[in-house]
Amino acid sequence: MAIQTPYMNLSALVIDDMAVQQTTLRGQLAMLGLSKIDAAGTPDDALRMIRARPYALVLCDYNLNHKTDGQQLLEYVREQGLLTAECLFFMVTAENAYASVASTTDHKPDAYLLKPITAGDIEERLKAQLERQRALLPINERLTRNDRAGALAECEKLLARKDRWFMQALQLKAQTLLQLGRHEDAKAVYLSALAQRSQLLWAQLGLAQAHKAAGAFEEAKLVAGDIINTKGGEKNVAAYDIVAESLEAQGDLRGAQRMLSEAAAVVPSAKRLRMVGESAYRNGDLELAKTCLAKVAKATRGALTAQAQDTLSLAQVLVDRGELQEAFGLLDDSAAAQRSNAQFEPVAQALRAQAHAKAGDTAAAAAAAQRAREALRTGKADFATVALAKAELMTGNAAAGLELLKGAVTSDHDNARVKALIRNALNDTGHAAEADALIDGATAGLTGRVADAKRLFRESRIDEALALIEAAAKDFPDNTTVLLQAAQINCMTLRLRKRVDAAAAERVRLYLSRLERLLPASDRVTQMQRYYRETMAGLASMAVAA
Amino acid sequence: MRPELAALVVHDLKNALGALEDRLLKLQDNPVAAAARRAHRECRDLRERFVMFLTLYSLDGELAALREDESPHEFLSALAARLRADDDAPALHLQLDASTPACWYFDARLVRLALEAALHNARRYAPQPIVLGARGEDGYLVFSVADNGPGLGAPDAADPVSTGLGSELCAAVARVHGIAGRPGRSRLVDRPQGGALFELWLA
Repeated sequence: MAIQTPYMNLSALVIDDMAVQQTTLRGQLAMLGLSKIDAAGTPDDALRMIRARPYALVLCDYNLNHKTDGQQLLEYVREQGLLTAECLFFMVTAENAYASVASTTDHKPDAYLLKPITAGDIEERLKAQLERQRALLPINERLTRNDRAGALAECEKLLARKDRWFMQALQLKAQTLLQLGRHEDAKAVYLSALAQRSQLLWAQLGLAQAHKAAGAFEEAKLVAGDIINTKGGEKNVAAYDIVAESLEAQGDLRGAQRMLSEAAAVVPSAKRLRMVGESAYRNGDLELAKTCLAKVAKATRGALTAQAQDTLSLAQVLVDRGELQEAFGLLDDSAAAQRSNAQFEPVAQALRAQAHAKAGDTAAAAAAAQRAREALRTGKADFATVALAKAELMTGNAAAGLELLKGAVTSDHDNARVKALIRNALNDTGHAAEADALIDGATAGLTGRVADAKRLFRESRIDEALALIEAAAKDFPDNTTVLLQAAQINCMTLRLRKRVDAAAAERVRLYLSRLERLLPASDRVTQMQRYYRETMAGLASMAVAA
Repeated sequence: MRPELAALVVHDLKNALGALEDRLLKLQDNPVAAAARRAHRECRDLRERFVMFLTLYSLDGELAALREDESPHEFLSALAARLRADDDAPALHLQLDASTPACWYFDARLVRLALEAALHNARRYAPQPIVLGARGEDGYLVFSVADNGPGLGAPDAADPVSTGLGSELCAAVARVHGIAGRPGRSRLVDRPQGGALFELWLA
């Protein structure tokens, strides 16, 4: 008869490229009573299995193969949402790798296990993590349902018990407050945690995030900088990111690039190098952009972390540098691998058109531009639109190119990153003189519409204000500034008229969901969500009072 | 790690490996379960000592500590359960003072290594129960191992921990458990009532 253990119903996946180690780990899990144990020898096999069925426990060796290590696999599966919220991910590392792995990561595994591992080691961590899950379940259940107010109430209940999970509850409470846009309250919780224990890393990071969310960029940089300057904090890439994002928000793009470079020096992962490469390209530093993007391409070739955009970005850098043969070679080599990706080839054609034009082959350039024009969906504030615009500008279709760029600006006129790409495109194609007029003109048109709507609202011409901003939102459905204003003016109208208008509320929700997609994890969007919630709560309480 | 200490430890580990080899050879002729269990325990002790050695040996500067939110109570209970699993385990009492915090930030792996070294030391001499304790004091979490053996002045049996590996490890673990001007520390003293007391102070 099988022995009853608390773990017998857990399904586990062992990921290790060494067959012997796989067998050992499976044996140890079996000793703990687990009966459903799968094993994978490569990251690709592991992914297939994770996609096919949910696991309660993943036991993954850090050293998998030369393309993908355990940390990259963890980041990939977490970012792609492939693991259930309950799945525990334990990383198995060797003594010599542990120090660098553990101190630098973006996503942390639920536990580290150091080789050599015994069944007792696994059981100890498994028991602790399952207890943690049980204790935090009421909070996490509500967070999964997006019931943040309910999650806060559950945090308070757990905090009142003052037990072993006190600090974890405090951390979740602060995170939830941040997600609710209540940064002052979040700040207070982080400060209280730091008063109990100075140099508590999650509280320091949270405090910096709360400052940044509140637009207090100097304070955010100061707190994040303190983390980087303390011993053991010099490898904390999350702190570098906060400094870089604050610098970018303040308009210091070079400074942001420097911080990203420093973070990539600490953790030279494909993801980090990609961030530096793209930032360098926007800032016109082609040399650094090429170095970083070439490293990314080399490191991710055939690996799960490969992204089609890396190839396109690198090809664009090569074309800009006049390294045309390299650019053609890169695009040709990638064509087969990208056959199933419908977005790739049209952009590649736009890049080929640019390269042919630079090489003086006008006929080939025109043909490639034609193919790109036919297949590309444009009008968005994105890389593809700018690449096609550049091809048009270089193949004698200046009017079409400028029109595309104007469309890209208006599509999201406060997007500084796209504006930088557009300015580069104009500079590179001999249209530098028109850059200011085009960008400022297109920006001014929209800024004017938004300002007019706000003015009308102030003058109490509410219906006219609404009509104006709604029309702008209809014309530019991806313009984040317009969407934010449309949400705000609708909310202000609801507050002013003191009555629930289901259609207006529905519109705001639509704008907010679009914003969430366009600007994931944006502080401005979080703020607007909070404003909407407070508006609706205010109306509801008024209805009760009446 | 000091080269002379490294040499001593490696020498001791080699001797312990030799003893284990000898025991395994005898087991071939006379396979008795109790002897096999003892050989297994020796092998495990040897592995643990290797881990201690490797933790210190490759050390360039300080240990890398990953301080996580842990329950001192659960941590000590698990450690005691491991020890009691041995068939010749000494009597072990857990003593958690009411002042012990419900949670604390420390590197459970490193602290376990340090306490195992101290426990290993204590159980060599102590005929009577060993007391494994925890308390909160002066803003520190203090783990302790108390025995009623002959105390610190006693002559050392030939044991690897006596080479200084254990105390060097404990000191290194304590060093990485300080915060902002409040250093972690370890100490080994004679108890007034006899025996030795080891303490690990974690800030």
